[in-house]
Amino acid sequence: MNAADLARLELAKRAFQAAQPGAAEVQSGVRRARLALDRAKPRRRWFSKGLVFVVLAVGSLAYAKPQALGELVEKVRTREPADAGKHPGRAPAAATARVENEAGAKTIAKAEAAAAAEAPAAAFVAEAQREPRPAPASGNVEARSPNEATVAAARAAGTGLRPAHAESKTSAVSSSKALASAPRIVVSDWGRVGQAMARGDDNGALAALDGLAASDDPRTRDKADLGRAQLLMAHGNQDEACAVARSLTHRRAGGRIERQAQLLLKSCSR
Amino acid sequence: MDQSFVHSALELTAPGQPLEETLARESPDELLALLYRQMRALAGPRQDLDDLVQAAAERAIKALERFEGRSSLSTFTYGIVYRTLIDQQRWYRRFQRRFSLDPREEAEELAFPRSSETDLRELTRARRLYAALDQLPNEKRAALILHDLEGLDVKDVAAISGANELTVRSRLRDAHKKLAELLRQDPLFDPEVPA
Repeated sequence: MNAADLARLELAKRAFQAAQPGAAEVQSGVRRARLALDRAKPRRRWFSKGLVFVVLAVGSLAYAKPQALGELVEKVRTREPADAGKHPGRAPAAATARVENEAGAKTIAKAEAAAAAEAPAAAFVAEAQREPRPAPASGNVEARSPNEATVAAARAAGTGLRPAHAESKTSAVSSSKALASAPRIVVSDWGRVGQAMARGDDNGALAALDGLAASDDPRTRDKADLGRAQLLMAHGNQDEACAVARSLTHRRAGGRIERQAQLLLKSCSR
Repeated sequence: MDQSFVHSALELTAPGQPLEETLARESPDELLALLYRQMRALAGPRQDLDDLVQAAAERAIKALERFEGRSSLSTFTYGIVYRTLIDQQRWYRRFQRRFSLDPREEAEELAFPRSSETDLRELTRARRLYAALDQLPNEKRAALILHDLEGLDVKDVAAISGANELTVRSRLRDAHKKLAELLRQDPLFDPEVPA
């Protein structure tokens, strides 16, 4: 910078000082700033925060598990009749409890299986819809005598379909009484499967599962196919069971259903 | 700048009482006035000056808890004002990339405060000076205003802008060069012309 530039800079300094705000301007600026600062900012209320949280939770659930919301709604809807018929809903648990005791279990199991067929509990149906495991591969359904078949069917109804309160050790007699007094409930498709299993009617269960396998809902279809595959495998119809299980893995049923199908396929390869 | 104002703000602190408490409770207006003057000096007369002062005041009130007295209060608040202005200018650049303002809104004349004491010629010069300063990059503009026009040390300018002293000197050199070029073209800044 030469001397002329320095002189220009001096002029600029003088101009800058001349343009500095006076006390009046500063005071009015301060007043405006104070008014703006005193004004409370609208805070986000807890309700809107909660709403955002709920929307995000439901949205992520719907994204991660699209069928979960439908199942939840259906569960809530079926819980009302289940509450109405609370005691009949314990019938499978009672059956299981009793069947555990082999001595003299056959007659009781028969009676309770019949009672279960009479009054299928809605909660039981809901559980069956959630996780259909009609028959364990251990071959409980493969009974040699009619009595054993009844016991096995009762066990399958108790253990394979596993109601939520299966652990309760209610007395079979009181259950039967309760069953007798329970109101009759409309049986769903899965309820028919459960009934057939409880009766030991594997063909009936398969037929009911076939009906469900033709459902429009892919999830229901997958569950029904898995049930069919497991039932067929338990019957020793390995080829057909493997074909169904293979179709399940091919169509990417996903989640637990696909894992179960893959387990079945392992026994196929052997 | 009227440094006596800053000194009076510093003298407000009663012995044994933290400065930030004194400023926040007893003299928020003094703090706001300090911020207003500093923002006005750095940003110049502009339409969004009140918004800038408000943003700087919010930051300053929050940051007063962290003020440890290692620098003067004026330097501390100048740092806040500087960062607020730089952030706003960055935001405005991004804003301009996406939106364009109605030219009628920008065409409003920025009026300097008029008083009988100030010379109209000086005010016209000041307007031209701010127009020239607007052509400098933000950091260089701020360094020039703080050092040459406000009279702060390079060390203080470095503390305010959060830069190395050498960086500040480099910015000052570039700013001087560019400003001299711009002022040479303006007859109002011709030193040969009598004031």
